[in-house]
Amino acid sequence: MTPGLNAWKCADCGTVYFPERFLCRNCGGHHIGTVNVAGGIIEDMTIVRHVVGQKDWKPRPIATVLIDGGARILAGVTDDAGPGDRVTLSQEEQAPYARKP
Amino acid sequence: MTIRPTYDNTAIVGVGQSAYTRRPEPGALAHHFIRDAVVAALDDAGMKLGEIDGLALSSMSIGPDQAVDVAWRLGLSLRFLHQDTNGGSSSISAFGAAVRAIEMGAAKTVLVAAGDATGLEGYAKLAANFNRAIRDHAAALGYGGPNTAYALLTARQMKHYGLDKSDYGHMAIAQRIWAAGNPYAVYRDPMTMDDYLNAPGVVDPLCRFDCVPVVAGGQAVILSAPDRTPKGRPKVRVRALGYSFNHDHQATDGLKTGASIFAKDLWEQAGAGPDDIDVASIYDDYPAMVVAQLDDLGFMPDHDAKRFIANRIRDRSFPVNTWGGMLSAGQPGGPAGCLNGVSEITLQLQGRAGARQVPDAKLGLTTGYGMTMYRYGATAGAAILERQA
Repeated sequence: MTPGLNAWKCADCGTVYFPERFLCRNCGGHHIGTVNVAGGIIEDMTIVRHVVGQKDWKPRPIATVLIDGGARILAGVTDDAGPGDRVTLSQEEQAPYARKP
Repeated sequence: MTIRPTYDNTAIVGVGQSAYTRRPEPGALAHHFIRDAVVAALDDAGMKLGEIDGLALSSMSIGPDQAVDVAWRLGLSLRFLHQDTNGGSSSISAFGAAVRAIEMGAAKTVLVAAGDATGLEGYAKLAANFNRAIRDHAAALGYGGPNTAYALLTARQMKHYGLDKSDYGHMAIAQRIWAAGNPYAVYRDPMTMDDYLNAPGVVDPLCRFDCVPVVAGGQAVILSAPDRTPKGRPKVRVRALGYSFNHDHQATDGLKTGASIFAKDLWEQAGAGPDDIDVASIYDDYPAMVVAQLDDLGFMPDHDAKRFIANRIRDRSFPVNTWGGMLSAGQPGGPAGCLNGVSEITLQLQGRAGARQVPDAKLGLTTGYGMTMYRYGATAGAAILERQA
């Protein structure tokens, strides 16, 4: 896990994106750079109890997180954080995770 | 000046489908199911294969083949070819492309076909590698396919509209009652509220009966000049078409679908409103998405989804998904499930829907929704079909 989430940000107007975009839908600019986002707020949460084709599946919590700067992402939840909670973001490879600060 | 297209030179002259099966035989290809649907549609239209000069194909599982490969294997020579692989609404998009092709003289008789045969393992692979966003940023979380996206969306919709699980249960049960009249539906046995509420949880708050069952299957529709409609059948024409792609960039809560973008234009094209619709097929990968589309299309002007379900869907006084929908009939890949709606509305308007016939249906609506590219569907489409007097 690396701290923060590597997201993307339009250098011209500041709109934050996740996943990456190649043109900014807000201003049309094409100078999109990366930005490390530290946290956000959990909006909704679910537990994935069953996945097609998987035996021995352990339930996995996944949340919609409104990250600082404005984008909404899917993130795994690694503690007991729930809807309305402020969370700290981290990343494993390209997958985002959230937990209480 | 707003262009108000009319589609006077096109009618749906034949419909057909394959068997639907939860577990296709090893080696059964999407191509086989598409073939079966095409044979049935040609028979229904009383047409010969050689009369087809256009193909609009939607499938997520013909790979590595493309539409032209399928045309080759089906013995078709064409002057119009269209392929749409953009998720659950792709066949309603392909249908629109076919209508426009005929209206513009690009072809005389267009076969609109869709089908998939992934099997459950193939479906799991497809779900985890659906696109770059899912593969790179969601699969490792245990995302496991669109159930997760729509679980989060359903949780939000329940808060927004004040819905509880039993409201969705009434929708699933009503569709199951309709499915009893559809010999092709994979689930036709009655379902009680206890069955629904006690079903195993899949992804909270979704239970087994909220998640569309994947099947292998195919659908086909043939479009041609109205005078090619088989004798003795009313002509079925296209009154209006509406489409939206990537309406909100996955940036909102997802409670509004792309149908919210084209609803006003769709009704203006049709010269009609929601109250005029006699029968509807609303793309139902999850009950929540039926609620979302019905609200987007103006069926609940007070946005009181709970009351609409209680007063119109539960007692089936508003005939929606009269073929059982995908929730009971099965989802033969997103695209064919969408095309089944076109087929069902055609059968209803022609009085050919058998045990599930809605009396004197004159105007019908069918929708598609899909391409869950990150948090919810990015594509939507709708067609309003009419029985010509």
